[in-house]
Amino acid sequence: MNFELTEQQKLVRRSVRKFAEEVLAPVAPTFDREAKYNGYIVKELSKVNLFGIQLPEKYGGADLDSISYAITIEEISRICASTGLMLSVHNSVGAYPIYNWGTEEQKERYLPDIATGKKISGFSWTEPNAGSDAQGIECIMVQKGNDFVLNGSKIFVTNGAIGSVILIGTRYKTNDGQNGIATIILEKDMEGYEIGQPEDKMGVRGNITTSLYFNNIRVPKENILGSLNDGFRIAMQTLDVGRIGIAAQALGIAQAAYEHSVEYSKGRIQFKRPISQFQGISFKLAEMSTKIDAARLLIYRAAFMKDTKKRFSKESAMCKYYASKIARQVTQEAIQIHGGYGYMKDLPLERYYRDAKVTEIYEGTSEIMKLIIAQQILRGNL
Amino acid sequence: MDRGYDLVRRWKKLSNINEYRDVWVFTEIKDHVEVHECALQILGKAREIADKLGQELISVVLALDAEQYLPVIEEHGVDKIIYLNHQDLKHYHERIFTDLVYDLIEKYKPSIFLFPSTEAGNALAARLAYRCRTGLVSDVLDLELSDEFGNNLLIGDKPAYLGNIVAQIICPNTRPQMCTVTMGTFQKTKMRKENVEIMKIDYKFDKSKIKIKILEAPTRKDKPSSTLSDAKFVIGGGHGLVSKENFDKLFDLAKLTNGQVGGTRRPILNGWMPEHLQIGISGESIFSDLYLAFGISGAIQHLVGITASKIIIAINKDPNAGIFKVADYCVIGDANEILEGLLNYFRV
Amino acid sequence: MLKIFVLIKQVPSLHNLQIDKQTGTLIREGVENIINPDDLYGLELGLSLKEQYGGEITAITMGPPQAEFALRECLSMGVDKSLLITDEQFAYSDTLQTTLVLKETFHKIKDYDIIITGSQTSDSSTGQIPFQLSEALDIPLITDIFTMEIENNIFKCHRNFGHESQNISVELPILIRVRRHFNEPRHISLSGIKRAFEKEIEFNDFNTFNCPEYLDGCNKSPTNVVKTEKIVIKRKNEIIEGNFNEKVQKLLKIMQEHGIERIWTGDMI
Repeated sequence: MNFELTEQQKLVRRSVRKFAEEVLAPVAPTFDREAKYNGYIVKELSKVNLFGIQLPEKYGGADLDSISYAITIEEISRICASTGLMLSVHNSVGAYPIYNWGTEEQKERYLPDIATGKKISGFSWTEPNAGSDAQGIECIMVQKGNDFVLNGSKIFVTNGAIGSVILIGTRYKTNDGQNGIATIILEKDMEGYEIGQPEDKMGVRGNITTSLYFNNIRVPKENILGSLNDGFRIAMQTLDVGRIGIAAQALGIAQAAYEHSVEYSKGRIQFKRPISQFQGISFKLAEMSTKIDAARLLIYRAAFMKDTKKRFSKESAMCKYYASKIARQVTQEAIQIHGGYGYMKDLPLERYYRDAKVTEIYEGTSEIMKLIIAQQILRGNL
Repeated sequence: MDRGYDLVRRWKKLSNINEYRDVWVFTEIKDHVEVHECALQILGKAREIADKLGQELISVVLALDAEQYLPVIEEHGVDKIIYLNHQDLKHYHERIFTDLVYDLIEKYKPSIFLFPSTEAGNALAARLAYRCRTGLVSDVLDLELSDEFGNNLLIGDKPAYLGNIVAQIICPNTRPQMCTVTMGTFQKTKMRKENVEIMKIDYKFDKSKIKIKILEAPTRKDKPSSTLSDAKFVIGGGHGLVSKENFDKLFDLAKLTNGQVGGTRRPILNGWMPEHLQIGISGESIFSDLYLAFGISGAIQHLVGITASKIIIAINKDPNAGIFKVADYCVIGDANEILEGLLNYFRV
Repeated sequence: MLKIFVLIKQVPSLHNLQIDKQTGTLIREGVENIINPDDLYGLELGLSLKEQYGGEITAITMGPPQAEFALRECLSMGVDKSLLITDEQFAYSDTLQTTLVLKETFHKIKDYDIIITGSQTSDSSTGQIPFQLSEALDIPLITDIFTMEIENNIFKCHRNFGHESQNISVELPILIRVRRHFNEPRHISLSGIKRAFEKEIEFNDFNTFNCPEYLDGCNKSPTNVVKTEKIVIKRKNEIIEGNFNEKVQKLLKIMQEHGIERIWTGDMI
């Protein structure tokens, strides 16, 4: 057992941190304030290969391990959680399922553009009447000749505005009367594909979330991922992977709030001494640090298990549940340590707090995470 | 090319170390117009050292029309001036100057040789130190003679880690003991020795040794390499100025007061000012008489670049801003308002 | 084929710099080691010359074994090869000593066209190496370049020299010293990282050079550091009190005392 990062992983952390501090830090507050995402950043992210973190070199990816992936998302989110979200979704629930379940033809068609960020990808399951109840989706595609015709809508789609390759879950009905749930690949320029208005959100405002509307979209068989009735399983396994990214995003936000708090409490003088010397504050710092460390270890373990091809549903749910929870707690305490200054928009503390909250909701709420963990435990996976 | 071995014998164990004597100062001529101020300052300190050693202070001048500068140098306490006069010496030239001065060192064996820390001074000193296989201490903050580590050894105080640490450096076994000195480190003193000896050396140089060809008549340089480091008055801005519009007012103030604008990393990232105006780590250090810091919080990366400014005034609305710890005068208030207030005065 | 060499040094990061007040030395614990910031401009120049003219680029450093990490960073940026010169005998080398080791290194390499250095290192800040290496290898050093081109083994460039602006030409090999902000050093791309760790780093030590007693760091360096101290800066920290107008007036007074006055600019702002 070894708790040290490899030299390679250390270099990943250093490089991404430097990139994030130099390129993203100046624009992160603007993304949040204006709820706009500036396209030139995509080009910058592409230069350092952040769109193909784990894809093999032959598709133009960086071919890194899952811990390096978690480190990358953490470091990006430490500076800009909106960008962290875009990359997490793109890499783990957009690119990964195509790589893992796609045919060679699908991989060659999509992955090279995905790896360079020319096409940004996403994954959408949620509908107005289907959230935690994932089986309740109402999108439906009906076979017509060789193809299918898709109707329905999705809501709260991350990367909805800039994504051009979106994986969605849909019910299907074939000519011979079979039905079930499929995961399919949609492209932005398909006829009948419509992007809704941007949602006005509490946090991660730099990532433009929209609804998607599908009006009689003709979906060729080549766009079905895996076998037709495999959709639900693909989705669930994809989300296991995605949750490592969301956990890493939460971790990055918490880390940022924690670093600010340490620095501030050392410099802020009250009653003639730095507030860090008061037990009330120093205990807060100790708790923050411990929670962040525990979350980080849970994330790395889940990533490690994925790389060593072990089942990691439980571990991934655990790290997502825990990291998102402590991110909310840490960012909240960070504001408390900063007092009135923390409440002002001059400092990024309130942004961290708003950004952190959603990590307890998307890609499975904390309650669903606990359900998954409990199911695994009761099945004997103690 | 030599393999080093032969020369090494000499610097490793300098057997004739006692033959080296006198304090030399490379008395640079600035822009073929005047004696460099820094060289005159060094002469002041070198005079003290020479007196303590009971040795001579010798000024070395290489210039076109060198004679015209000698009277000024004579006013600054030298015992002797060694000079060369030639058209080729109008500007510093790495080959010509290095060869000629090296010949002088070989012949006259100075014990101490000091240079102004200028583009030419640094280059020449480094090249000569290599040829002599001796040590060179750059940008000394102070010089003193001490018997602690050897008889009358020169100790040079050299800043390291961007001026956070000072290291005391000696050069015990080789000669000359060489240092470069930045502008403003020492005070020039006016004094005239009786019977200053003037020694003219004939210019002789084989130009075929020069490898760099100048293709067309050079022009006076239009792009200053750095103005921040020579500026007497620097006006700095940080993230606290909030907008480019406000930051631009720094340039207005600079224009009205003959100041120079600089800043932290953030304004560059925000697109408010060009990269070469950065002060601090990975930017320039300043040596101004006065530094006005508007809306700068005072990250260490910035602070290391301003510590050499004589007076620092900081304006920031956060009373805990780190910049106040290193400031002589602290104004707690909105940097933009104070800036506007100053501008109103100067605009009238 | 153009053979480009970039000299780099691993230095302690000066962010969060802490100094032991007793010994006057840098507290190294918890301090990250990074590529000397000025050297990044050299790496960028080397990489862009390679992209433009083809050839091969090698990063060279001299330092303790952990400097290998700095070379991995160079490889991640796109450098083809790397060389680490490391030996306990080279510890505490001063600039002259370092120059002599580099001289041996390049004599061994034999085939070099362009050697690139940064302006100075952030730890010892002497800036002497480029000049001394120019002497040691007897090749010209070009500094303060603005534009450049290479054709048939001839390097042409526009540079500042003294107070002149010159167009010059010189035959390779040459040394180039890059000034700060000459270019914008690229960020490390994730895809470069894996490749960097698959590459071999070449190691040279004392015995590689088959030589010279003189290449023996601390005993043979002509300069010795006898003491280090933290520089303590005392500032007045005087708070300027009063209402807005009083503050501005007091500031103006201090500025005047230091010779800052309105100058005639010829136009009104």
